[in-house]
Amino acid sequence: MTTALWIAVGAIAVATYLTRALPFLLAERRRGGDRKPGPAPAWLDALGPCILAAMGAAILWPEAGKAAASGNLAQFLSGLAAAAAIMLWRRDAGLATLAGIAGYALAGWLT
Amino acid sequence: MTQDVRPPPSAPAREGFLAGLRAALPIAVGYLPAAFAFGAAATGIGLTAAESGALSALVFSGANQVFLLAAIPAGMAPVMIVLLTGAASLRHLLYGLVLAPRIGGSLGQRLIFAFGLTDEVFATALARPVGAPRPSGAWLIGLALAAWAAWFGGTVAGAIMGDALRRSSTAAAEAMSFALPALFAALVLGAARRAVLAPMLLAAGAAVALILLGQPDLAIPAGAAMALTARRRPVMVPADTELDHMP
Repeated sequence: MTTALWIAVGAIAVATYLTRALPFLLAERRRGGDRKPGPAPAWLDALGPCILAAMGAAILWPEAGKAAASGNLAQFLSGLAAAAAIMLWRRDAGLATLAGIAGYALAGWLT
Repeated sequence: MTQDVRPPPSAPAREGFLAGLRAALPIAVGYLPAAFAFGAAATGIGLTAAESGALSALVFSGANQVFLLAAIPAGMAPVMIVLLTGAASLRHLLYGLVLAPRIGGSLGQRLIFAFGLTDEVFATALARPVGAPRPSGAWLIGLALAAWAAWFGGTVAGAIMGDALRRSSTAAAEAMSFALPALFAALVLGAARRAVLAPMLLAAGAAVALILLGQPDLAIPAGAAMALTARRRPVMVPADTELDHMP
């Protein structure tokens, strides 16, 4: 890579870090010595779950489309069902992910 | 003389750190195939394994790094690359805004954690059970460090080995490719509560609509905007009950 590209990579790294760190710096200044957060407004309480839901949809929808196009929708849904079942049972995203992979592989082997 | 039997302060920090590492396991499982692919693709455009690894170590942003894979061969001006990736990173401001009142740790610990605040790390830090204590600084650093290590290690391995591993076992490669969908399905379920279920459904619907309209870059911001439809204040649930859990 050229020097100019390395400088660009450095700038990207700094900019990315700043977007991740600035809210914590601002929150620290706002709260001062009080560590207890006040009651969150409804929109802020819903913001995180909404972002998660959108991220989930943005990942799952195209993957489901690809699975349907290749005739693997049943395998895809089996993997999701396995992940969902373990998540609802154990509330553990790690186990649920592993179960989803296992369910997906098993369904692919059976079909 | 009274003997102080309190455990050393480093013990809970170490336990928290190790718990954070464990919590990152599904992220690592999800990252490894993608990092492998990024490493292999980076060498495919002429980057060395060291350059590919440096990109992952410094930037630690899959979206920005994949953008670089397209921008570098296209000869895009470095200034334009920085501007476009900077705009794409603005969503992280939301993550910090959401997490700041929900996590513990000192400012220094939070600033270390911030380096690893990717989409998946945010989701895992956010998706804590109702009533669980706020994640500690040590837990957050363990979580971010493990995710970073998986991304960096996967990139270097992918750059060195290319896609040899995937080619050696098609079935294993295909099964591993399901890790990210499974992870997000689990995280979304973990975050679902009655109080936010309607906005979450609207967010997912908005994201799908934007994808169908050919605007996938707007899917997550549009989903985030659906939080404004939340009407009720969050219900305060005692720590020892799970009334607000799904199902």
